[in-house]
Amino acid sequence: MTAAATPSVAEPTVKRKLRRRPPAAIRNGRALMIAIAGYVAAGLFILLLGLVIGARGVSGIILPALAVVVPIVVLCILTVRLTRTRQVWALALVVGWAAVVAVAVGFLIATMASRQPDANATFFAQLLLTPPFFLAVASAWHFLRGARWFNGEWEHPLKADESGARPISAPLVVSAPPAPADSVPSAAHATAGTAPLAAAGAPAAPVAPGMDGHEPEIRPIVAPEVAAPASAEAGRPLVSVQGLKKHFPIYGGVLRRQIGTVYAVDGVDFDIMPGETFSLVGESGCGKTTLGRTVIQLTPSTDGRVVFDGYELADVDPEDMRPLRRRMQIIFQDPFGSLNPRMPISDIIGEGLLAQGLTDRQARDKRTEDALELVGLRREYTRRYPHEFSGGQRQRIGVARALALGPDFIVADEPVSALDVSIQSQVLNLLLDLKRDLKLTYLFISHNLSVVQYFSDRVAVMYLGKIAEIGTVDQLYADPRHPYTVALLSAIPEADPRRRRKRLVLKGDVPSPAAPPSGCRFHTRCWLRERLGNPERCTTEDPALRTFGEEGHRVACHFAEDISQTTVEQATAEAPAVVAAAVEGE
Amino acid sequence: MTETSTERPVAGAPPRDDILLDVRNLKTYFRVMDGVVPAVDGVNFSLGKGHTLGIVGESGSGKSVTALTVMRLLDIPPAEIGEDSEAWFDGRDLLKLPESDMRRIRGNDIAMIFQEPLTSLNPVFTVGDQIAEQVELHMKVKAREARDRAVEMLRLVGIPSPERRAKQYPHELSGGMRQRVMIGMALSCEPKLLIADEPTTALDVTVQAQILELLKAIQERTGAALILITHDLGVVAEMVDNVIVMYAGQVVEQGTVDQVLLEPRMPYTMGLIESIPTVEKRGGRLSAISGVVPSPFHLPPHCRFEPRCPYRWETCRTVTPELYNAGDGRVARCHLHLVEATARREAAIAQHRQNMAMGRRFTGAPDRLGDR
Amino acid sequence: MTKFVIRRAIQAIPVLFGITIVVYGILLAAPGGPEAKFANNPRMTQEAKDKFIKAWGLDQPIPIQYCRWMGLCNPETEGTMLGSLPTPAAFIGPSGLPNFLPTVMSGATNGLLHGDLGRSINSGEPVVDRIARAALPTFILAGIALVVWLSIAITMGVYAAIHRYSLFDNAATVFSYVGFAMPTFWLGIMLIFIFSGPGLNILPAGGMTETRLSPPFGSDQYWAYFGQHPVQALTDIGKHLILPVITLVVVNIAGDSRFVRASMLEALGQDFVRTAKAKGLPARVVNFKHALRNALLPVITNIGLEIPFLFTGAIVTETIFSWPGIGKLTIDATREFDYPILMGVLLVTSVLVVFANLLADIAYGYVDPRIKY
Repeated sequence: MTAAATPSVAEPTVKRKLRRRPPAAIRNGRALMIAIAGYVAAGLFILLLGLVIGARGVSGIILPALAVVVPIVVLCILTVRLTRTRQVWALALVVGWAAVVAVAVGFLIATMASRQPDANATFFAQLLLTPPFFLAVASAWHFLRGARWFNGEWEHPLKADESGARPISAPLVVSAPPAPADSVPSAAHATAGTAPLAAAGAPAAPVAPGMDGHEPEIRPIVAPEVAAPASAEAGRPLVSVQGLKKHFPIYGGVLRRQIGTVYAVDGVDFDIMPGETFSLVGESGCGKTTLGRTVIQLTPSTDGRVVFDGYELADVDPEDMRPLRRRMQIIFQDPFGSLNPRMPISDIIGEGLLAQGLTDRQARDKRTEDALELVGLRREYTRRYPHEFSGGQRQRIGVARALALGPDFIVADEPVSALDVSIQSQVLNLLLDLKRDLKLTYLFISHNLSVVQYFSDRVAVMYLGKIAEIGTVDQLYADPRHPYTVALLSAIPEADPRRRRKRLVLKGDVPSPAAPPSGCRFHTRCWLRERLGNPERCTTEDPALRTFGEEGHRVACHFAEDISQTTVEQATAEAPAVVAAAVEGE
Repeated sequence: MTETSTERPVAGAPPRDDILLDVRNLKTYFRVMDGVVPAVDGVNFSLGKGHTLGIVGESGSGKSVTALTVMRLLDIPPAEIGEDSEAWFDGRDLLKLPESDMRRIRGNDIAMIFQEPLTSLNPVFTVGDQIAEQVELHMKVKAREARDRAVEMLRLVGIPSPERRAKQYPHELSGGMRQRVMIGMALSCEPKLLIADEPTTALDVTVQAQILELLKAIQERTGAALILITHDLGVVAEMVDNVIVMYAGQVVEQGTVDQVLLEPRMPYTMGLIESIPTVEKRGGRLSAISGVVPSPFHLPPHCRFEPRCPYRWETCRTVTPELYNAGDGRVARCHLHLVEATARREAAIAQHRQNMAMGRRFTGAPDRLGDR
Repeated sequence: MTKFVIRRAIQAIPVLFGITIVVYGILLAAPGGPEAKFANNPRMTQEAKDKFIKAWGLDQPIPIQYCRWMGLCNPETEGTMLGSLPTPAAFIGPSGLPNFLPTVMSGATNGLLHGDLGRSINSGEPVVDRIARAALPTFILAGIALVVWLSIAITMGVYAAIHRYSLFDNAATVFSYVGFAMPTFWLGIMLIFIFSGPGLNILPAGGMTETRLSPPFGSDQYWAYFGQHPVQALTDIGKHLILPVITLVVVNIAGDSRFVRASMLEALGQDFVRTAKAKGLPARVVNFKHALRNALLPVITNIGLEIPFLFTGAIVTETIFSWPGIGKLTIDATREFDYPILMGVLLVTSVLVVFANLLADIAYGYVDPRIKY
């Protein structure tokens, strides 16, 4: 079934294997390190206690305690830094741990032997020594378990320039001399292949106003290195998602055991080509936001592959992920909640740059101001705080934050849902301009079908963690082949009273993703199934995504052929009866 | 029918009998630390019995405050209602009624549905109790009958197994169900007027369709008048007969739904309609109204839309516009409807038609710089 | 809900165990030790001191002392293992079974696990009895004060929230801040000065009973006297209660009334209050049914956390008014280096806090239908 589900998904070329995220055993080993740090603190407290009781003769424990605590701290640091890369280091560390314990015990015995044995001093020393002993044993076990994971798979860390990321220290925009508003030239992005800095000095020639039907406008000139196209090969998908799953456990009961699973994303396949706007639509709870976050691995996936420009993303070591993070950015829905109210704009935007290693404060500020200019805000705004801006401006700041890192791929998670209609179109236009100027690729997540139709190239309709239908905007909107898509399209309220029409109203609500219906997940609300006399196949067999009609138009419905103008009209005529019946029932 | 400002009866006198609600010169101010916010600034409209009226506007335009003022649900202070404001409902001026009489009208004659059904229902009482409470109060029935009535209302709004649902708490219901409960509660005392404040904004598209169909069916059946407050022009187009467009506390355009949505006569309405993404506009840029809604503390002194208006000229900065007759019974608050601006009006209308057809951009300041 | 209670009870076990260690550790860290009371006693010889230390088992290593106090070890067994730890034999009780088992099985009576907190070093009285004797007066004082201040604070907070920025609200705010700022000892002394001073002299200055009239509170003679003259005895206690209760109420009302006011204001600003008004409900129903019920939810947690106060009482107030309660007991024990009593009080207080939290959580789950455990 999986093979049938992915006929048109091309096998992506994998550029280079990245180091994988350490398995749970090693990650738990790190948790162990934190526990050790906690122990060190506790040890110091006991030391203090010992000092207080020193009057009763416990001062002898200070030296042995230091002999234990110092090597532990050193070993903690070494363990965290080194075990990820070389197996031999892991083994060396195990030996190191054993040595520490041996030396400490020996030292302790020697100290004790040379002094009058004091029962309480011995007790405190034992208190100090017992935990590292157990920790040493436990970490040895962890390392030996984790050692299988190394298997000589060691690679050097992924470097930023190797990852194909754009430089973050270079300017984003070409600074033009301050000029009166209407004389600044319109958007002129340097064509690909221009020598990077040569064009930066000379502003591009003004473009005649009225070109491509737009009025002349002030648009900052994008620096050529930024405007260069993404490194992805032409004709190859930039992002390839295969069988992606994201499940969240539900805990409950006396012992807090896992009692269920939320199938937020449950086996999704699609490709996004470079320069494309790919949209995910669906109702709340359908998993579109989770999918968007999982694609860029903001939340680790449960199963399946995500290949981004030749790099397999699932389970990648955070260090290798960092240069790739530059290339994948996200814009969040809520412009009020997603900006830290206590941070100035310069920090909100600059924080990502800092995390990417741009430590030079001036270069960071310059880049931040460039990003603000790129989204149509004043450069001086960097000193202000989020509450000083309107919703639309904040969303622009969110966009600037993403752009500062020079991404190729942006996940836009409901970027305009929280905005007023008039502001919404401003932000949509901005996103379109940026896409053209910076050669961006979008994964656009929205519940607004009108916006999606206007904004995107291809669309996937999601229902309960799965793709119901996928295709180009024209295929999907003109010839919907999944009963859910038909109902969604029918439900769009149109601002044209002449198009007032009867709607095809679905019954009920979206079922819980923790208990998705058997077979086709839509069967509980499906109008087509009702018209076809409730065939059993819908409740037993999960429909695979299959190509329907034109290439690229795929639908997950057993009976897609049965959808026609007539069936939809008949269903529409009958659907309001549901409400009417309820009314009559009074 | 929606009356235009020219046909208003004299102040202080009740309107004609077929008018259910007649709001005259409604002014609501909020006195806050930073100054006075004119949230609603001289709004007039009237609503015939059984008719539907849509109030459209962006956040902060005063559309919700208008409804809350008519219902007298605002706390006074900080809110203040204008001295000469009137809201005639069924032959009585709501704004002058004593609180006890007003209470008998609320929930009984005028019912309201709010945007966020989760927070609008009390989390610690069952939905059945919350409906029954109102029934018991207004219909003067026993607790037992009131509970039966609550179950009946839940059935009416299409909630399956209403007996069981009535015993559940709001958090146990889905968003669409909760909104159905709100509607059931509003209808439980057979009100003459239903005010729905963004009833579907928090809901998904398919659930929104259900709720709109339900509202239509119920209105058809009970004959209640409906005021629908929304920012979604699509919902307005589906639901109402007449539309009021509000901007910065004022009515800027008023007419039938066909007039306002198909042939808007106020640049703000034009801009709103042009900025809706449609299939025809694909590939091009959306028309966008430049700039942002003005701060209520620093409203432009004359035309409040002037700084964002692509058709503005000197008059707009020096003369305060009124609601001018814009033909066929519609009114618009724009100097384009002055006789001397005929040429400009024709040009603006032509531009609007062109924008609608081509998806061209608005001829204002470029929106990339809109916030500067 | 049952599952939740069970889970929380299971979780409480390691917490309680931790509490015993912390209580023990804290007193261990306190300088001196029980023998410190002899420091300024010139007549105390070294031999007598050693004898004292030996008699109270203070010569044993800390782990053994702790295990004996807990009742894990048999105090009769001598000897250490590995330098500091009790020998395996020490864990065997008199009957041959492990010492920590209930008395009927192990035959052991010592230690916390068998309900024995040791004896007071000074009086030799069992700690449990001493604490039990002091608990009743504290419970009377703190209970009455708690009821009075909570009812006043809730009424005041709710009224101030409904009539926000009114004269009453402002007056309540001022009163709250005065209460916050007023030191307990100063207020107590002022009250004594005014009402028991030479001028008025209408209320007793301290104690729980009039010593000239009745035997000391809590003794057998007292209860006999109480049986004969209940009205007289109650009036006597009542008179002695007035000043300490006033002190506690004035000082504690401030925080709670502010909390209730904030909570009520938040509830009044909720959408469902607007819905309730839109339904045409009278203001009384809107405020006291819809808003108050929601406003009291966080208050319940707050009240739950105040339950341990019933036991711990108010150290300063009890000391000022010589109220024979736990607070006074604590101060006296501290002054006299009576470690067993201090450990007992600390332990019971900590355990009460744990259970009060549990109670508050259960109560919260009961009144708020949204909480599902």
